[in-house]
Amino acid sequence: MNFHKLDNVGTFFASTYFKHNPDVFRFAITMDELIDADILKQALVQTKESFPVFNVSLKMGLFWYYLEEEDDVPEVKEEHLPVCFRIDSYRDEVLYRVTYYKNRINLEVSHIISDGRGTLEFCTSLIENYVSLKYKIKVTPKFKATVLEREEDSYDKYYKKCKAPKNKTINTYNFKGKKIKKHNIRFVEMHMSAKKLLTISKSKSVSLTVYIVSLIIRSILKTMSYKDSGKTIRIAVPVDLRSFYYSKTTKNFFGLVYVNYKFDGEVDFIDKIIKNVNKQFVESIDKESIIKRSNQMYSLVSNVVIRSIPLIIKNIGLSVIDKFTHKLNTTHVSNMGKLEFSKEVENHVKSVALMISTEDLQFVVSSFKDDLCIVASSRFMRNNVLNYLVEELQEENIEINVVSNGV
Amino acid sequence: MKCSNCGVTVNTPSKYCPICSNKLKHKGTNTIYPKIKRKGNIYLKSILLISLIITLICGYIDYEVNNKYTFSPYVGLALLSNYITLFYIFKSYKDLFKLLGRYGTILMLILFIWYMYTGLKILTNFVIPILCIVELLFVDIYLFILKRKHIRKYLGILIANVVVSFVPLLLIVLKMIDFDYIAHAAMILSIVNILILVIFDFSDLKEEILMFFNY
Repeated sequence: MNFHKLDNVGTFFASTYFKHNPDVFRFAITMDELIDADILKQALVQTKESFPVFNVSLKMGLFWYYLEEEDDVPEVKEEHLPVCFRIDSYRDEVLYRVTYYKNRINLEVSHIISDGRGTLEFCTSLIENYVSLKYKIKVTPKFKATVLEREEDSYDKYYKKCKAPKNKTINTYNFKGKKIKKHNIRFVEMHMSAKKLLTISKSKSVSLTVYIVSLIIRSILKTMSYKDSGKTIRIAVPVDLRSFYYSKTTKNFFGLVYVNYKFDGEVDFIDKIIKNVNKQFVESIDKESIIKRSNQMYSLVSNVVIRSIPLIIKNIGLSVIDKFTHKLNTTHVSNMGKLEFSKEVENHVKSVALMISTEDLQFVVSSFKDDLCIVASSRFMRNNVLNYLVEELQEENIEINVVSNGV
Repeated sequence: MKCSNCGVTVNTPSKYCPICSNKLKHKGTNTIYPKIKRKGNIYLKSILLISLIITLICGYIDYEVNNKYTFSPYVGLALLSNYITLFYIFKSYKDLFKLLGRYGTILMLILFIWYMYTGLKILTNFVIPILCIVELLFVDIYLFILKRKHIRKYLGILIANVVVSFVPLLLIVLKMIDFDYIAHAAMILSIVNILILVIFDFSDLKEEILMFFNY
């Protein structure tokens, strides 16, 4: 039986896991035919061999949590739990879950073990194995890496002692409103043409991420009241550090870029917002400044004094920090980019949607073929942000298909 | 189906548009999400409510009849231990063995609080040491005889029980025990367990301890 140390981000997520909706993300893959549960189970068994770091349970040590490899894969069941429902060591043996419903395969993973990019590899491999077993065809794997490369803690590998960047204190705007009962989350998938949106963002000479973040900022501005003047919308955008450093890890390896936009009592025109957001992106997306923030967390986790504190006390401390830091951001927008499968698999995949659990309102963007999907996860009973976002998109003549989980 | 208010094509099992909350003419047929909502655990909540009501009634009667609290704190503690057990059963029904391991430790803690509150020597002389022995013997029989292959998986529980079985020794040191034979028996059983682990499962034991103290 093998043990794994948690990476520094995983450590933080594990310690804050007692909240109602801990960070769990879902990769939902809609196939062209009804899902065969037995084949899916076989595919999962095959996939597990190449990704032992996923088939783990969370154990409590005296100073830190650690991960223990499990021999058996979890049962593949028809969807029976709410979307992105907490994955914990009480109910589940391992820190991920595979379910299906009609044509859809759902892979849900706890952020303790992996980030979006790492899970994408696991998910792609699962779908490849499923297609290969179901249609009895040979599939060329999209991602190639050894088990050791996948197990690597890249934060540790690229850690460099450096001065942490100074954070300015800002008066952040947080969403208000009545929340959905029993900690339920509403997931709203907004599907639209990727080509059309890309053409618009190109015409404005910005990336798709900048354009979508700008649209979201404008939608939030529209919901703000005059009393909120002077407050800043702060959007956290996760950035995959694998694009800066050579790494094939499937463990967490991402940094955060922050976009700030101050509300002065008026809703600015979209072009002004785009210009501002783009400037911030250009300035902040550089290897050094992103890794500096990650290093800051690494230094904290590896600090001798902090290391010596028993885990139970650390859990309380980190939960308090989590509650405090949570209020520092208005929302998170993650862009997973264009998802691709190998040719043999792509013919059998109809659509892809990525989503994450939340305590407020959060967005995940992904695209597959010409289908761009923005998934908003919301704990609010009513919130006009989505309404205004749709309005913004419709002004650009974009047709939107909406699917929701009905909460 | 198109929402007449915001104009998006909607496919949702709900009556309302997820974008603008406008009431939809027809409920959509959803082939992507089954209708599942997170349920609160009504059984656990009901048990908690009933336990609290019983404790309150007992407390009231106890004080009215005896002019002080005599039996009601015990009733409260018993109901508390009952609730904790059920809470764990509802949460970790997958592994009954792990559940019993955890429950033993919780029970020990409750008994100790009980002793601190009442000073009843029967708890430290007999109940706590006997519980340690029974729990450790149960774990031994389960692991060494029935599930020898899975010893690695449950080693953490065994070690925890071995450590807990030293509690009666601590009670002797703290002079909380008058009749110390059972406490000594618990300690001897713990030492035997340690010897077995050191001789037969040393590498696993070492690995488990290293990970537990993962510094």
